[in-house]
Amino acid sequence: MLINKEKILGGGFDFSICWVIALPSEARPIISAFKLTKTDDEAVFPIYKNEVTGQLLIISGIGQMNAAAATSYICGRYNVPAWVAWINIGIAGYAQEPLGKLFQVAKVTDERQTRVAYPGFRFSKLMPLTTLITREQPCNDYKTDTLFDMEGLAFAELASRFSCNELTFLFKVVSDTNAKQLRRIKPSYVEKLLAQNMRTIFLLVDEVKELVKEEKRRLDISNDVKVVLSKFHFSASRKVQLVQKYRRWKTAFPNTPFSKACAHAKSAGDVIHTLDEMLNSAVFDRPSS
Amino acid sequence: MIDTIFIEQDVLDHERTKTVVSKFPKSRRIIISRYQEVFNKRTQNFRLQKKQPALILASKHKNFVLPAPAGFGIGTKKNFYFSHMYNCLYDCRYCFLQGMYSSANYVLFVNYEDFYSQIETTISDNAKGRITFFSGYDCDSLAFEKISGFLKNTLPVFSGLERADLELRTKSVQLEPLLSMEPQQNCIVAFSLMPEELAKKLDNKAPSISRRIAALTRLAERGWPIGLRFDPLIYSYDWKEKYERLVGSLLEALPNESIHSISYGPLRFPKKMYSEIFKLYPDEDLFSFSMKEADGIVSYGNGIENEMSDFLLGQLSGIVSSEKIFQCLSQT
Repeated sequence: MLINKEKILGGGFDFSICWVIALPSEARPIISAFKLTKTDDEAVFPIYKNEVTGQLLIISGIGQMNAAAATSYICGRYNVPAWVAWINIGIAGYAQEPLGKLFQVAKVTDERQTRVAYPGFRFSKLMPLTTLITREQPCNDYKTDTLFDMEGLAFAELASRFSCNELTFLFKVVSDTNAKQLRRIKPSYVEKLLAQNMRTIFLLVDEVKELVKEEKRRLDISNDVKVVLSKFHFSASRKVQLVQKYRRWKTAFPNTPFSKACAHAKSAGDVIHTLDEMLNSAVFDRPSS
Repeated sequence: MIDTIFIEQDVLDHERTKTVVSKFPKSRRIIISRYQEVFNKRTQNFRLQKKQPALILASKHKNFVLPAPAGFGIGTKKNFYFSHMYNCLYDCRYCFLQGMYSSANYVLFVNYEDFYSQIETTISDNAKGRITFFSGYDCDSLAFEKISGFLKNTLPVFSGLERADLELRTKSVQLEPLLSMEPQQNCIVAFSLMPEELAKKLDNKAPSISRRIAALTRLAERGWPIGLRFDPLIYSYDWKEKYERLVGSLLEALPNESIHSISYGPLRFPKKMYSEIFKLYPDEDLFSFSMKEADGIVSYGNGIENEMSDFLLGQLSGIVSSEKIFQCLSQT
């Protein structure tokens, strides 16, 4: 599981969504719908991606340990940035039909309710919200109004650290409501349950991407800054200063090219000084701003 | 519209919980142990959450009434505040709440009676002199009234109290129950104000200044004592003209005798809070201006602060008695 630094594969890849899915049969409809292709044959877990749409998908296997390991693995291996959305989708047991109904999880706990997470920006207009209990073993003694799975909690706890709570999503499709149905679950049936919800899943992905865009705008470092960082040596604290001052400068002087503003800079200190001087003349609510 | 209500197990059967929940029949209700398990999670994203806050119904267990920060007051020596709610319907870009809380969800404490008994205790513990209680420190006092009914319950508590004043701080034009009640001379309805052009850019989701002026005029006509709060004073291009117009509109609309008090204060943040807010909104025009840091406080600096204060006082001089004007220097 050691991730060799040289093997970090995310460079130049504009990520928006990372899917973490337990079973191949749960993943297949997603892989097909979003045109993901198998990649990275050396990886410990099966990984799929679509570089055009910025989606990565990892098949974790069943259970919390696998979900946590796969989430960490893909995050490290692809250097997934903090604005990416993390989605766990899969089947779950529920006390009542209809089978195939899609839910968003608004609260997830373990069986003893000692751990709890409240993942996700809620899409209550697209699907109902509910709670989820993540168990260590399969069960069929379902309680009303709560879903049961085997991965959700660990995924939610971990993915929200790599991104944030509002970009960590758990979506579950009801697969069984009793022991008889649980025993009959087969890969083709799971695939069908997911496939019949693809219309809603497409809408969800569109909504999620809008949130990702907003977060990327907030967190991403501008190319202007990257160019200056590669040109001059900035200490760690000066780098932080540069990023902050650049954001403020760009807001105050949106039409001035950065290369022109810093044309005479010969060092990191000169860049910071130039920004400071210009920022001193900035005034909130200037008519041209 | 609130789509999700988190409810503490302990207040599930509280009458006020049932009343609030009944106002959102389509919302999803989720039972929780304590509000902190939702509200205080560290990985939350305030900015994204602010697009669609959930409501948390909870019970407060302690610290119902707290001393107001030093420098916060409208004439009395003893000042206290209470917060029956955390977070606000509005999204004002300079608001300290966005730097203080990790969650944008609304927390409403339904055990109002515990606040009232602590207010009574505070009054009897401070037997000499007048006391002012401030509501609307961690929320807007009026904006959530249709849901919470907090004022409807609270105003009678202050009725007839001779030594205690209550300030309701608001930007809301939701004026019930004030319009349908007899005015109480110890309850000051205090509106936060800034020039219209600046409010359009900064007071997101809040009523426009002209609507606020119309609302405070109605309340003044009804007989409620009015507070005018220029806090924070925002430095901007042409700020003198902007504030001159604002003060002019207010003094034209409002009979002098209806003004209970005017307070003003500079834009100041503790350093850590400023940093949190800047991280949330790095492209916000308000923060592009160079602010100064001294003793852990980020501000415009004494020069600008004094210039703005002097200008505002000059505008009010000779029109409003200086005894009614107070400077607020608290740093949240």
